[in-house]
Amino acid sequence: MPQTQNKPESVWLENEPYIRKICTYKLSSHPHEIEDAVQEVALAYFDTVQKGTELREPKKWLTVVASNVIKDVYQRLSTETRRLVPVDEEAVQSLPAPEEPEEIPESVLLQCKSTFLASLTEDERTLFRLRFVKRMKLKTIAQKMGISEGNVKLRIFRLKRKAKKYVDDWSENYL
Amino acid sequence: MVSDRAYLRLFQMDDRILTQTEIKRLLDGELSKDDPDTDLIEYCLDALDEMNRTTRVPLKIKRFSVKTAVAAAAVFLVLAGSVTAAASFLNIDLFDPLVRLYNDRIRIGHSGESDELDYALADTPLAKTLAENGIAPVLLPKALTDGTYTVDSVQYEKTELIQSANIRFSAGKTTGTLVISVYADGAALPVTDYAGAEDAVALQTDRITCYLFTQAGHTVIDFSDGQTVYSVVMNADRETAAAFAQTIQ
Repeated sequence: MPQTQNKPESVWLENEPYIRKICTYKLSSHPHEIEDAVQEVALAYFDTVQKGTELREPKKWLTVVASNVIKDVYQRLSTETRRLVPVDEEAVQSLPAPEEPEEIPESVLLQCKSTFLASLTEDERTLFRLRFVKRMKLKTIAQKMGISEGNVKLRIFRLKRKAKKYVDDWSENYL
Repeated sequence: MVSDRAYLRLFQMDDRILTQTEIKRLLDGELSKDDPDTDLIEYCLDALDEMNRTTRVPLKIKRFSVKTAVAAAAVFLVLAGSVTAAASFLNIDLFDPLVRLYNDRIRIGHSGESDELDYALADTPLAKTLAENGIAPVLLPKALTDGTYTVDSVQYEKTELIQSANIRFSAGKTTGTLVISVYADGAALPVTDYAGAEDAVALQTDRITCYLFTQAGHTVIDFSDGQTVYSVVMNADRETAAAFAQTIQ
């Protein structure tokens, strides 16, 4: 969703938890680096927008910056020491617990059923039919679709992601 | 017409369709792209959170029941339990900075260092096929090239940062997967958390040190050579997996 009309502060606040999650995931073995990495991404962002640069897809831009910041952290750490630093247990334990995801009521899921199904590609529709309507095993689906079982798993994962995003967007726009 | 029940299955079934390692691989691949799919990244992060939420226990380094060995600052600890006479070479270094043992998982990092090994199986058809696809030089279990196991399929994946081969193999009822990932950047070598890992041991073969443990009824072997990371998952017992690992050269 384009966010260019939003104020930079709102854009950052909206994306900060996401960027923090990426930093926490990639720097889990160096928890003391997480906060600094998040701050570095924030600084890079505000620095860029203050210069008047328009970011058409700020979330994507922030993701790439976060990846680069993390890469820099690892590069710095690898020059400081050639071996990984043991995990700081106290710092890891002090990390916030992941938030509980909100359950989407079945009634909401069903409200966008027809439009979601219509949005699927032919391959996705085939996969959906074989797995969730006919309830076939992964192996059988792999044989029928002429792809590997691993590929079937990946496609189901992506299909579920697409479904979740569709429902999230739908509820945001219509509820 | 799709029934409501079938449609709702999409949201209820297959929540663990990918393993934690597979999701991490997908996530790392996406994070290394110049044009990342942020929705996919967010979904992977949520899926990992969900996995951690259901398996998380207070994070502590596992206290092994061999306090005397630790007190004596012994460098190596021979794990008791399922280590048999045939596998008596199984040791684990408690002070290895690349490996951390927790009570619900094992975390393995990779130094990026290489022991300047010779790659004795470089001339085998499997190694040549891998080389043609950019995966070289490689260490391979000889058991995959001498007919002990049959290679059923080899798939390749390539991102800006990682080039990997997924080799499926089998022998009778024993099946397994060997994933070889070559990292373009040593700084990006992964630190992998294996949730639910049990009975972790280090296995020293003639060529390499690898880590072997059980996870969800499977035996996992993890090792690296330079910027190439190897992960084997077998539906076999530890002794069979250890015998497989011993043929790596």
